[in-house]
Amino acid sequence: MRNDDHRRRLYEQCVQEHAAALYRVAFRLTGCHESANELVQETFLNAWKDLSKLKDDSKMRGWMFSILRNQNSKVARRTSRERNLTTPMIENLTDRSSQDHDEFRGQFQEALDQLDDDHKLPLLLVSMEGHSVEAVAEVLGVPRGTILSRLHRGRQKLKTILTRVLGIEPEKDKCDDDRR
Amino acid sequence: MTIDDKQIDAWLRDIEVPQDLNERLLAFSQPASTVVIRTKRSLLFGASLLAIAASVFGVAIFVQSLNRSTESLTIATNPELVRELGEIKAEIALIDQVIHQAEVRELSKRLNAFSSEANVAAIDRIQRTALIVSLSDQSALQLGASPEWVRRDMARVIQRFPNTAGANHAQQFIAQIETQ
Repeated sequence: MRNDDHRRRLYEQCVQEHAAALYRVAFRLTGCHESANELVQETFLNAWKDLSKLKDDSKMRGWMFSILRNQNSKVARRTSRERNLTTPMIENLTDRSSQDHDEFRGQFQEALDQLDDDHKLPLLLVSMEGHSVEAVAEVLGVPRGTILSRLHRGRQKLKTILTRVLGIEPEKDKCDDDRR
Repeated sequence: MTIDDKQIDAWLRDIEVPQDLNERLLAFSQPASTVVIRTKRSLLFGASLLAIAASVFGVAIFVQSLNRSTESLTIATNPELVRELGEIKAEIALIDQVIHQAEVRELSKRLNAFSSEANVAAIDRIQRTALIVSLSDQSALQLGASPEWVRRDMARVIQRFPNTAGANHAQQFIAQIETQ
């Protein structure tokens, strides 16, 4: 059984190592900073309460993402999300390029929101956060091959949406070239 | 400009993480403040006394029903005792609730947060905590606690929760004890 000191040390380590990554994923899932903050806080509060249930400390990262995912599903079921895509954390209204950047961020998030969670989560966890395909398969409870295929399809869908929204040309798919 | 996988990954990671995120999350693992610990201890003492009183009542009624079998007195049929037990149970439930609220208030304070509603409600909870502590001290005296202990505990209420109805009640009650 863990004592309080060990539990506290483990929790603090978890915050230092994973908070930023969880926040990024939370932001991409919720689409706004306020909801991302709430989601991450709920996730860490649950983690702190249930830390004694974690049997293997090396699985901390996957465990935290599972909590985040479950919390997000609960919130999504409970409330309709309020999005505030045009409010960046740090605003510089006098800087035109900063405004353009913020506008692009909003458009990118809108495009990402058009993906369903099945395709969005592998993109966030593997592409954005660098988790292994195997680890994500374990967290999401699906086979490795499914993650790979969702990852590929998610990317393709996102490229198609971005092309439409932003008018940017997608890079030619190497697989398509190979098939020809 | 074209969209390739690397570009998408870079856009996905383009998120500003709040600088105070870790600090806020680490607050969950900090020990409760001494005010909360002492309030909790004091309330738990009151609750224990009330629980003991409830048990004594229960035993007394049981013995009474054995002795006066002809009168068929039971807890369920003696309205006065049912009422008294009900009041004691309600008071214990209220104390539990106040302990819980004190902890929630502490947590809300630590989150420093996104819920201004919680901070507004906290003012009301301080008032309630002070009142309940002073009332439970008064009950403790009636149930046999030493007047010196009650006086000391009420003095703490006045010191910790100044300008509240609970502090005023404690002040009046101390004056009452001293004149007796």
